[in-house]
Amino acid sequence: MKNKVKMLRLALGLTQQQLADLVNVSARTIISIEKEQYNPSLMLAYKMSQIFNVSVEDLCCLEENLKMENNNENKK
Amino acid sequence: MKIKNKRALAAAVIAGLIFIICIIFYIKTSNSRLLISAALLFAIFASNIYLAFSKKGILEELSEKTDERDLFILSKTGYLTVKILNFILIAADYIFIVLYGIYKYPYLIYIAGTLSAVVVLMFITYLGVNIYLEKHE
Repeated sequence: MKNKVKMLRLALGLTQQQLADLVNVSARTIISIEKEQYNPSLMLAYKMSQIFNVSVEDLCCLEENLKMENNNENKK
Repeated sequence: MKIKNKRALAAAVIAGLIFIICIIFYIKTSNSRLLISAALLFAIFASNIYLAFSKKGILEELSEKTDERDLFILSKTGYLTVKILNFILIAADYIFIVLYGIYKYPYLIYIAGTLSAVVVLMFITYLGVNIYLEKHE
């Protein structure tokens, strides 16, 4: 799932480890989220959205992802 | 006193119980082998009791360091392990049945039967766990 974690993290000037420490997960988890290999839980997404001062919807590009999902469904 | 290592405590309880059984049988039969076993079991019991209350076990250490991605990977690992094991067991089962068909050695059918039993047992366990989680998660 697409997200804006990397962009927002760099904008805040945080390292992956620093962000991981702030939300109590491993740096590996942050790397996976940024690579869009792993989808964060609702609680983790909420914690990150509070740090970045954006909504969860915005952080996880929910509208965009929903559109992509609908397009994929239609293609099937 | 707080339990720090549950695994060691379980091992201590088991060792303690077997130790008591050994002592009871030693009193009844006076077999020196039982006394040696009892001494060894007491050593295992004592060392595990020490570990249970003084040191954290691997599982306890890990549970403090795991995050949600680790749990996700763990569940995926479990699923894949079951899938691979099932495949290996069923493949080996078929191989032994075919070998029995060719060579007619009775032990080949015993092996195939045992493997089938393991597959069935695994399936029943899997189903049981799945039903439990469906109701409780």
